[in-house]
Amino acid sequence: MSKVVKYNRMQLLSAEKIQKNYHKNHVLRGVSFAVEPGTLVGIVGENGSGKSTLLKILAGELAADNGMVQVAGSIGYCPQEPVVNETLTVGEHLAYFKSAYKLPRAEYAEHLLDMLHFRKYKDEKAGNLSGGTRQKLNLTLALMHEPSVLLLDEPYQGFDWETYLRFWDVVEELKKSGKAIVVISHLIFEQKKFDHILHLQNGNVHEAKA
Amino acid sequence: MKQFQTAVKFSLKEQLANRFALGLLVIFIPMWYWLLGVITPGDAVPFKFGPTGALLQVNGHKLVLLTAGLNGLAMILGFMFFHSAHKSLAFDKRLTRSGLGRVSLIMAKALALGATTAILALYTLLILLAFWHTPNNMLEVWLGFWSVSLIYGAFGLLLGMLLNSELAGFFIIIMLSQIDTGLQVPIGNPAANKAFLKLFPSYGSEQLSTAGGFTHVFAGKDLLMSLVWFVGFLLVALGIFATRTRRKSSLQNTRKTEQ
Repeated sequence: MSKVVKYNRMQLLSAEKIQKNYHKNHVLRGVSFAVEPGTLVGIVGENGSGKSTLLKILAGELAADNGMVQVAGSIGYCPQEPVVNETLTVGEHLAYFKSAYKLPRAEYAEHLLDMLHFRKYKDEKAGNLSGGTRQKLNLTLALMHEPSVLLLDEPYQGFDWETYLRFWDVVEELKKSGKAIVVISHLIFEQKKFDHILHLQNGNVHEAKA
Repeated sequence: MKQFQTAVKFSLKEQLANRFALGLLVIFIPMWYWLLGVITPGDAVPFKFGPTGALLQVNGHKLVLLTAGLNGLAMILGFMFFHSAHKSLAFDKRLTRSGLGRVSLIMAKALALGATTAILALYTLLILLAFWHTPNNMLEVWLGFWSVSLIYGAFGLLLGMLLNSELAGFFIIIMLSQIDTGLQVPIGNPAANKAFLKLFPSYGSEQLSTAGGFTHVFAGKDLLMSLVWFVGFLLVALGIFATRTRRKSSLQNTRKTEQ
């Protein structure tokens, strides 16, 4: 069951009264929010509060029991656990997704190899990469087609400090180019980087920072 | 077409990277031929030959060698494609979400399966020749080996997309391939030569390889029946894959944008 949502041209992503139950557990009880172009929204909450469930619903990976998600344009979804193929190299991943996204060139992916500092692993199989480098690849696969809406689930998990800083440089670039970005995390250290922080608690979101 | 070519290239690479399965083939197949060959004497055994309906009297030792090849290929290729499909399901899902066509991806996997199984069936035939130098028609024996590999490869693909438990998949493949190919051999087996065996996946492959080994008859109908099993399993795999990679309904795209 879905409800009609009046679409606002200024929003790239809107979630309207999203509900999700797992048996008798009401994980999401009517979550509504919207993200405008060039905006970074953080969603925080305790373990098990439904953050990943919400992001999967926003990405179309999971169906809501009720409510509607509207997205203007393409989505880039970065799952919490890296989804890569262990037998393929980093370069082969980029070639495979370049073909999937029907990109003429993989320029932005090449740019991210430098920005996230993992070009030297281009010929290395994903199965041989460290957790942090796999996460860089995971993130690159979500961003390489330069989607208008980015949904990132714990994107800096496993990053060292330098990569963590580089990640924020990438986010800053994306914001400047008008992307709508949603980052979920159980902990958000640098609140000043976010335009909005939403606290997911008892199945609903509350603005923690506006 | 470009997507299909890319998917074929990487699907092939994925199969050839499964060193455990390839190692099993290298070690297990000769060992299996040797072991089953040693314990089975060359006495004549009655074999119900489908293409002519005749009850052939064939050398039991040689018949067991053919079955060892069929059995080894069914088990190892089933395992190989189950393992890769199961392991790459989330990745394949991500690829299709990113725009790779589901039919392209499945067809690429089918083509990779066809090529891999053709080569491995040839390898198994070459090893067979070390134990049995003069089968009548080697091409037909190879077709029997190839067809059973296709059937069990597609079955493995299907199970890999269907089951969440890796152990359950391995168990089903081992049990089914043992029962299926084992019941076709008329040595110490009261169920052999019975009509119901025609309903088993490896029946056509056993008939084909037996025709190639002992006769000058081409078992075309049995080849066709094997291909029906293969295509059937492949279509079910495609259906499961389509269901598991479908985008969920609460998401609506309000406009198409740049890629």
